[in-house]
Amino acid sequence: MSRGLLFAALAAALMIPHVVPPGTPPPASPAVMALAERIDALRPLAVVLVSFDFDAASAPELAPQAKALLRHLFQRHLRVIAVGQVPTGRALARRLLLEAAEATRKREGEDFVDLGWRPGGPALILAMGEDLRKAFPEDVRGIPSEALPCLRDVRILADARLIISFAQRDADAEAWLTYARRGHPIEIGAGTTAAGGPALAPFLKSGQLVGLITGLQGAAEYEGLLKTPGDGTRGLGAVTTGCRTLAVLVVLANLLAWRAKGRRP
Amino acid sequence: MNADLFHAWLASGLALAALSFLVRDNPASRLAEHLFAGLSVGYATVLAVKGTLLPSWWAPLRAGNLAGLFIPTLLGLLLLGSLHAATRRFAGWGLAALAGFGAGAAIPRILESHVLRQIHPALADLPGGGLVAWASLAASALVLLHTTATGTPGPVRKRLEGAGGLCLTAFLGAAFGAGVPGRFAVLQDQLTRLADACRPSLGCPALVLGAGIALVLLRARHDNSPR
Repeated sequence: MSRGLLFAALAAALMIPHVVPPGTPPPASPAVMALAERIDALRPLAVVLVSFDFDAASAPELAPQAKALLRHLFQRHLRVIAVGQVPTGRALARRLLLEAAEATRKREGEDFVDLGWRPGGPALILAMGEDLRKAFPEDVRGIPSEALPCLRDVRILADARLIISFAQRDADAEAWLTYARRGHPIEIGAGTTAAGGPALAPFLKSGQLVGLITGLQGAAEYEGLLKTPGDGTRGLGAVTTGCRTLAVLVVLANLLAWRAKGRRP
Repeated sequence: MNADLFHAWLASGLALAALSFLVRDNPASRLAEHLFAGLSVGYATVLAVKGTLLPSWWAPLRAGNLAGLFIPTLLGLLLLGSLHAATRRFAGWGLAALAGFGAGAAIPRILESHVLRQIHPALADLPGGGLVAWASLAASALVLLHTTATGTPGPVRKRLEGAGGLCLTAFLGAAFGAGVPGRFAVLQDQLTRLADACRPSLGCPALVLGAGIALVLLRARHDNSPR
């Protein structure tokens, strides 16, 4: 079987759900449900820090998660502080933030702020624990943090009720778990790729993570909770068809190899 | 030319050029690869200079805050020592200081979050955890034996080590399987964008550029074929 045929078969399988309407989102897993319930339990105007720790390489999995979760946060009238640990993902994160804000009629500076990216990783998280406005003196538009109404009563990281990291590497989400707490009772949730999910699962079990969204499956589950099927549900259909096609191709290739081996003298 | 049109042609061309690597290595795929790497580094550098170096170092320096900037500037200069052979050893001092600060901040916190907080939930499952918990423990022990055992094994240990190897293979297979949906999601996203870029209103950039890249590949194949 030629490589070209294999690529064509996989491409066709992945494109089938593009031409048919998306199906029903799957029921939410306990980890996804826990995160949504935690957000529902927050009082309006509570502060949620969202860290966009991904770039274009993982956007097909993490952007649908972020879209659904941001919509939920804004619908609940929570204040959102957006930051990021991956510099090449900042433009993408800003687009997601502005799209969700526009859909829910939220205003930048008052209902949400985009503080952008600054280098430092763990050191930056520690600095945010000491003084958030010193760690981020201004937002991405150049407006001083002191002048942003959204940050009026936010001095340190612990003033946020919940931190959610959308992490393409499990290490980015683990950085928040490791450095953000420092004795403060901040709750942390995460969204990660299908490959990163198993690495973060132990933190969910230990209670260090209040909820976890994993891959397109998690995004589709979250969209199901919000009753608005979108990119996650559509993408999950395509990926499922692709995985099934791959499984069939693997079995077929093994059968052909086995048959060819039997014919050899 | 409006922004949407420019974006559609540029994005389609680069995506098709990158995907053409599936057929074979070619100048278009190399161009796309170099462009992505260069743009990523350039973008991160501009962000670091504009977002950190200028407001956190240059602005206070111009304001005369020399005392507060002494240690960061010294560390930065030491790290820049790696640019020249004569000053390379000074870069090691800067790196040692950074690694020391990093380790000092990380070790107690990682011990707390990754070890102490994990012990209880990991052990709490075992007594009544059923087959899965005990099988996981047994598999871990077998993998440990497989990867650390030394010397000539007897018949029993040989079988146990073989079982450890099987467990390790199953683990690697599961890890690979977990990564497949992610890669499929990326491919599906790209294919969807390319399908969108076949619209006549944009000038069918995906079709036109796809045909162009196919011609380049065919030409390269023709040139490389034995005469």
